[in-house]
Amino acid sequence: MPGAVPADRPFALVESGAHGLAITAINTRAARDGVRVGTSLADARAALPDLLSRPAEPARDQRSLLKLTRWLGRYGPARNRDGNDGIWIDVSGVAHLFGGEDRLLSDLCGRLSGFGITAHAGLAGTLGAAHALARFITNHVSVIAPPDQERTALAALPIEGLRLAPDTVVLLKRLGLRRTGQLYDVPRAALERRFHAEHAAKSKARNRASGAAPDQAEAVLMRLDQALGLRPEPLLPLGALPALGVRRTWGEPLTSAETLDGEIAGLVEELCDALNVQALGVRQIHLTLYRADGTIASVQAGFSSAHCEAAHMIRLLREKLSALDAGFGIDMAVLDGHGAERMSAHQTTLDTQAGAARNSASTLLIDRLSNRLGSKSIYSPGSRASHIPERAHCRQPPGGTKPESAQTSPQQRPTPSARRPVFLLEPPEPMTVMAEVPEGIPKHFVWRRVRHRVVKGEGPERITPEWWRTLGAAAPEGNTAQPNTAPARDYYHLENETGSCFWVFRAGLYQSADPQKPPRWFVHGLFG
Amino acid sequence: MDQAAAPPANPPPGPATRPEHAKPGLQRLCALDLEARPGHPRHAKLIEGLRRRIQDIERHVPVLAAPRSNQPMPWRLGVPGADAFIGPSGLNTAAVHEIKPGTAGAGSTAASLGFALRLGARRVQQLKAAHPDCGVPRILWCVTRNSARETGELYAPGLAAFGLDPASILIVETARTSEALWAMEEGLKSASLALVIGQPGKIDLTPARRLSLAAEQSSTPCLLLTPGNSPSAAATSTRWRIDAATSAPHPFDARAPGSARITATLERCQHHLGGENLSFVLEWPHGRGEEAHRFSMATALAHRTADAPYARRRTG
Repeated sequence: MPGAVPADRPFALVESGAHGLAITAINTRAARDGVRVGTSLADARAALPDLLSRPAEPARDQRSLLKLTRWLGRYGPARNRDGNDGIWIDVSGVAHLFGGEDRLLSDLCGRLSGFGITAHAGLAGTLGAAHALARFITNHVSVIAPPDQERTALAALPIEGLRLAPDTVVLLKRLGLRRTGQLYDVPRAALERRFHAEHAAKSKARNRASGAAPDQAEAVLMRLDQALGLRPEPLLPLGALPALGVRRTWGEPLTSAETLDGEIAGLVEELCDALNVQALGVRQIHLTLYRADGTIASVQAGFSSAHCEAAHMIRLLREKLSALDAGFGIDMAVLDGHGAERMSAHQTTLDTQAGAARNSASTLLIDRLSNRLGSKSIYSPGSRASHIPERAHCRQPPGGTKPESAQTSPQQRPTPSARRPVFLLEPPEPMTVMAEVPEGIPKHFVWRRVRHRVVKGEGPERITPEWWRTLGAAAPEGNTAQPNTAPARDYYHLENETGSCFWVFRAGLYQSADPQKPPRWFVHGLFG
Repeated sequence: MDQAAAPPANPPPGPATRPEHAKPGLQRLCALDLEARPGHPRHAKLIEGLRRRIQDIERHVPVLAAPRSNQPMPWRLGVPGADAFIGPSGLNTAAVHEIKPGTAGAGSTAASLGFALRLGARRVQQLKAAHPDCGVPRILWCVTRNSARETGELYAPGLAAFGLDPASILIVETARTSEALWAMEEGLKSASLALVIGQPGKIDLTPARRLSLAAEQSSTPCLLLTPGNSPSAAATSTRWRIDAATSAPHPFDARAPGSARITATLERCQHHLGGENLSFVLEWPHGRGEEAHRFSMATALAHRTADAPYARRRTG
């Protein structure tokens, strides 16, 4: 933050609202001096002339919140933001790693206060209860509701803790329901009826029809049920949840690359052991390193097929770890495996040993190349069933232990009788034809500013567009007879005086050409 | 070894260094012949003698080595005249071979790439003949984006004429020369490939040497395609200069291009470090089937001196 504010001066963040600048956030000193969120800055300044203010930056707040949420992955893989000022973490089955729930919360709050964040934590069986506990028990930094005790824990808390819309809260208060516990005893039908009555009175007074009452009553009951665990609440975590994860923590943050390297290798072996037990392999591994200063560094590696071999994983990770900055030290590492697939045990001996070793070695090579250069920059040339030259060609992902099985059989592929170049220029490069012979082989052409004299030539081979592809395309306005299609192409195989061979085509037929727009010529390929 | 052997007749060191299983009081002696260490004149003389004997065997009875089934089949062009010049063991499969286009222009570059692919097809044939059950030998093709723009992408339907399975070719397209060189080196080091073909653009001496060492260690050949006007990379086993040549007459149509022909000049050959270049026109018959995928000689060999000025033409 530009220019830190001294803690002993009242400070507020302001945002321009309907009635001038309004305060959106304050520090503790300002709160002690009586400033409240929501009042206008002018009013607060009148009472407290030395109040400092800065414009609020909600977008930046969101970014920092997201960063903090990512870092909180150290307390559990499923976590996400909760409104604009909260974060939830699913710590089911995690607490024992920290020595119990109370130790987990004190560790969490201790670290956050170390970063200068004043945080209150609540831990309960439901998100609703934890939300209310964290926000409305102000005399403790962290509160834990024992299992199945949400009902008693929430009873004394104000109704705002139920995550309700502000006008619903106002309505409930008008009905005399101020504490969550008061809602327990109200019969459900009665609650709805009272909402109805209140609404009817309000809409009569304001002369306005309203059908929101049942919704509001339903919202109150839903939130109450969710908080008490009577109704399930779906939670959407940040990022994909791993299939399997292992973690390591260190009392003293690690800074040396060698130590970290060794520890990561141990972590990978742990993950692979866990995978082997379940006979699983993973397609991706994510290594998240939690730095002591509240930032994270993450490294990912992908495999062309499901993997559970530690040596290969370590090798891929090590290449990326070298570029990593440990900063103030790393005190925790989490290694997640994503995209788990069942591994079938395969025989590696008594088989064609050399072939199997060669195939697995080339799979490892593909992984290493695609992890460093990106999976798009490594491919094999593939073919598709089409007569259009550029459509017949595609890039197919490499890998697969048996290349021939990945292909379509030769019967399915069209086998052009004419020769095909070994290099295809995509897109085709325009060329200029001098001394054009109608429907014949050109005598001279200029391509890439070099003039070529044609000595030998073969052609034309006519390739018409695939009409079934243009069926859905709309014909241009007022020209229904000729739909919007690419012109037919006449391909020629030309050889120049030095023996270089070119695969060129004329787009459009010669005789049907508009005199103003003669057919254009392109070089589409080179014969090696 | 040196400690124990220092004077061979010395009594053994004290009981502190004696192995634990040795009985106390039992004296143990170690005698080493210091003269048998490598580098010693006697040793060198022995090796020299053995070498001479092997040379004699090779010179007088060359037939002995060929029909042995466990002997790896050499990587040859398949043209007797040229193969005799390259050497009895064919192209070195643990070295870098440099290929340069004869002239600037896409046509000549395409011809040299085509030559590399044909050598690759020959290499795959060789490996398949040597290890029929070894799976599909793969070829790694490393290219920078700039080089790929000049000649275009490898086109799967066209590869059939070379007898290559498109799925066995791995193409790595990189933005920078350094990345292409890294990929080539990794491919060589993995020792799982039939061949590495690289088109990294201009290449310095150090990366060329690295490639050559990697090729040597893993016994994987590497074809290095460099621009025609760049200085030749050292540490290559052979250097070829390739240019397109007028195609063979078409059997049915005099005006149509026939089987592709290239002019290949062997500018450097480790086996034949003489001063003259070997130049010949090779033909690659167009057709399908195993028989078609080999070179044949179109014209007689032409010897030229190494310092003959190279004709520079600017053509496509």
